[in-house]
Amino acid sequence: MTSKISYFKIALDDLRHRMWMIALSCTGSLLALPIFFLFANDSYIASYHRVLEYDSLQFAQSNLDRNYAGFLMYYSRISCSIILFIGALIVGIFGYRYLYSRKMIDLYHSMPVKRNALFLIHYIDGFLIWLIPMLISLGITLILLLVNMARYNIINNFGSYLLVIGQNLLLYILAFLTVYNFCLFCVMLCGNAFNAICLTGLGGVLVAGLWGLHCAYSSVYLHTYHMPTLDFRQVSWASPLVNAVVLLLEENDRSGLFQGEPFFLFMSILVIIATFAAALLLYLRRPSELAEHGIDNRPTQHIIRIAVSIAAGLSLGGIFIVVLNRTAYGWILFGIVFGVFLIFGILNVIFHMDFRAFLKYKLELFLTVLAACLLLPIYRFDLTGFDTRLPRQANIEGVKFEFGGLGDSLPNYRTQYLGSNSTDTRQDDFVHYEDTTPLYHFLQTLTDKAHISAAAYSYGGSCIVYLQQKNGSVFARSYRVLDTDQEQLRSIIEDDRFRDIYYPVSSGLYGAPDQLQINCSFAGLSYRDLNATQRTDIMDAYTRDFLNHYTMEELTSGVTVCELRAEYHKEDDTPTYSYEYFPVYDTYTETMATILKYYPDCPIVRDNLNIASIDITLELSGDLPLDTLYSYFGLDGYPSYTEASEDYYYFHLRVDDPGDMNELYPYLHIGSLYSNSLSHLCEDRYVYLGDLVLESGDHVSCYVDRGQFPKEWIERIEITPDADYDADYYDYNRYEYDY
Amino acid sequence: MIAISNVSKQFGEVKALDSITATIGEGQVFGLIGTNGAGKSTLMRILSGVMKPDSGEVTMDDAPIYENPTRKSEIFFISDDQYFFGNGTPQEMLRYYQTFYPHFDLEQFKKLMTILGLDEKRKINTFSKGMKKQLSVIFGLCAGTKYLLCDETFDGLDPVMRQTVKNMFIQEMDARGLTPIIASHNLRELEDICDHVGLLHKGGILFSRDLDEMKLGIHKLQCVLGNDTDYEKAFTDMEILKKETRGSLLTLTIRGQRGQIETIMRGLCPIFYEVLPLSLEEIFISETEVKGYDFKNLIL
Repeated sequence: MTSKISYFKIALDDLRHRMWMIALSCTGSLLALPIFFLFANDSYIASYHRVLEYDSLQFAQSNLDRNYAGFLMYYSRISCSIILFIGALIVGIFGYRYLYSRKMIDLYHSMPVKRNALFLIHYIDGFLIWLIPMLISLGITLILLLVNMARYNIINNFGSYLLVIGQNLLLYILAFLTVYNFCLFCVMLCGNAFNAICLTGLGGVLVAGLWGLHCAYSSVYLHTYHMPTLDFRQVSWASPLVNAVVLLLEENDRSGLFQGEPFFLFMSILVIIATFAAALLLYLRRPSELAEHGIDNRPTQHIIRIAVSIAAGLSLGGIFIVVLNRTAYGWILFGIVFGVFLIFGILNVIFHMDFRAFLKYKLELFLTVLAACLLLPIYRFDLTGFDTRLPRQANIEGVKFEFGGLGDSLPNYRTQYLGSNSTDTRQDDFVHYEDTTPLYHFLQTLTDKAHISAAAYSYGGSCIVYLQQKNGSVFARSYRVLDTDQEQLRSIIEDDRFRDIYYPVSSGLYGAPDQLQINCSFAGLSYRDLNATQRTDIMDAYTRDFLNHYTMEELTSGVTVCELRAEYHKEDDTPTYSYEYFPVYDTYTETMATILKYYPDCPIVRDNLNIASIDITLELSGDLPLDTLYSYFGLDGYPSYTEASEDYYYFHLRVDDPGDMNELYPYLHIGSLYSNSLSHLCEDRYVYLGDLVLESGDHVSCYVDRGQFPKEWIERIEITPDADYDADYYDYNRYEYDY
Repeated sequence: MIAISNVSKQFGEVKALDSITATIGEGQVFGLIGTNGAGKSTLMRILSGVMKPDSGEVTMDDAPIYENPTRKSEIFFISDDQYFFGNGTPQEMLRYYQTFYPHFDLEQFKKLMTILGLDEKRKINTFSKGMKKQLSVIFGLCAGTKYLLCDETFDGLDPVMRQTVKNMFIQEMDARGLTPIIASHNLRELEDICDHVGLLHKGGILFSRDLDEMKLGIHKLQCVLGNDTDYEKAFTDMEILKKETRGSLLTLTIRGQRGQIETIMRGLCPIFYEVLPLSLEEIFISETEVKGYDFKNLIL
């Protein structure tokens, strides 16, 4: 007797038994798309009519078009993503729940059908349960969109919307399959639904979590650690739940998806295929008798338990680092041990579905605790030699420096106009691919000093270095750079042979700009339309001053009296090139004289800083001790001011004594670096000090570099809280500004 | 014919089946009896292709059953706790079984449902335990398979229904050569339906014989002998499975033919003797006692 079984009928029958999933999926999809669209459309249409009252029809139409595009590209994604995640987990776990019941498995697996066919039938059914309602909902949404677009005469953009919807659908399918397949993989490893849910949740974020913890501990304990060494996308694929989120966050517009991201897309598809294959293989090999157990696959049980426990331990240890500090080793170790112990036990209970199993596998627990605890000294004492590692010179293909953290001495011209069509091919950062010898030696000196405690640096910056290696990998480090190091670096790179690839623009060696502005803080933004000769003269003077004061000492101790904002045009009057800021220090006498020549009213030059008094304004937490007060200036080892307290108070001090003023003067930066009165709370580098009151009666905002202000001087300030100050209001404004 | 050869199955530390070898011929009722935990259900699940043995093989007409839809389509498995879809009705289950068993006899199904008074449209979860068992049997009989595996199927059936089901089996055997394989520890139920019995004990098969042959080959002897009679010497050629003395009454369970026993007894000139046939239950107890299953202690 032979049997001809219709797989189609089996699939239909399976769907009949999953009606609740279908109902849920339909409801969710309809809510997420057409109903959400109708809800949003009401406000879009209201906005359309509102705009029409004060603007043109064309603008109102384009506004509506933008709203529709925004709905498709962003808002509907959020709602669909929720449905997608829940849907994938439900169809994944409940579609195969018969594996968890002895009764059900006796029925399903005694039927005359091959297991791979049964797996595929349930798999496809699960996928269709999500996909078909989603397609129907998309179709309804498209019709609603089409009707509205026709009504408001913007139908000509409909084609681009179709593209966006197609892109969205592709992302949804990829994300759904990522979650669904991984969930099935976990389902096959487990003996009950609770364990499958736990394993999906933990396993789905495990690698990304461990990677995050590694980054966090590295940044806390390693001196040269630089975050972007590994792009998040290079690890996110190994955490399918995280990967699904990353996929759904993929920016899409009307021009395309995954531009420049072939690796990520490739790995995402590879993970989808691999998890599917693994799930199928585990299903075929899965013994029926494993139903109703905890977690079935013993090696997986150990791997998950150890990895998750270590992650939990490090997380709890990390909380102590955040709450206390990185040197509270006792508490950090306690956190690690407690975290490992607790999660290890909980996982035991989950895996065995038995509270008495909490203390099972004692040797494994001991080894896991030991391994987790050992990680702390590995990071703390850099036992892997991370900070002192430098690739061999022969293996280096190119060098890239990012000078952003080096203060005024080595700024780059990284700011280009948005949408600029500049033909300047020079890199934003110093990138060099030829003779790396001088730079390599410099890096060796930095590497040698990498382990010197941060406390040894009274002042310095950081410089991020990327070494492109011949094997294709990139070695990235963030080195702490002292003033002397900066000077050495400047001497290396400010060389004519590098001019075609990089030149620090603060030197002014670009020549005359096409447009020049002089920023003077107390006079607002002063702009002078200087002719070419004048521009050339000023920049020539600036260049001469720059070269005459070409020492780090002068550069770091000079007072910035004003700024030159230079624009460089490539052709005609079109700003196709970048604009730069050149700080004018008070020692740049020739520059100031030249500015005065063409701009006699320039207040800062005219008054030449005849200071009457320094009006110090400090906004601090009133209860903070002196050390914390000093941390206002951002010294290492002290908490950041902006995180120190929730309440801020206003303090005021007027310095009239000429001796005091002279002492304070070298630390000042004068000018309109930050025009917003709250900026100092949000900036890393400068701290607002107060006003400089000139003899003319003008007030000049003045700043100090974080860490520049002498502690001794702080101790001489008597601070009187201003009782009328409304801290809450201040915080509110700060929030508004940050937002 | 189903051939079980050297089948072993282990669950963790527990050895459920240990090198089982047996043959189940067609057209007979095969009773699988055994102590609790002997491995009956495990063997049934292996026979139905739900489980894969760790070693050994189960074949039907020389082809393996596991992952073989052709062979599995000739087997219907009624587990000890049959699953029905939640909120499902017999009609829905019927549709499911019809998908997998193309030779499902719908007419017979409706007829049996009517005979047993089961409503096709009523939710199965409102059925009693016995009604669910009846429903399982109906599905099993109507699936049109050659083999019907019943794991503790008669549990929960009242005596009348048990007899009805037995009659159904007999009818199907006559009509199309159905081979029921019934696992149970309720020996009285099997006694009057099985042709062939396999006795499982601690994962191993003690014997697999025709029931008649087995009943004829083991007897209970009750006798009163003279004081000097050495009965053990007289029965040296026969295996005494059990002996019990109450006063002067000696009760022996002996493996051997009735004629042989009577001949020996006559030679011993007993005061009284009687040779009695053993029930299947008594055979089961005797055989398992021999293998170390301490029946008396269990009773205590």
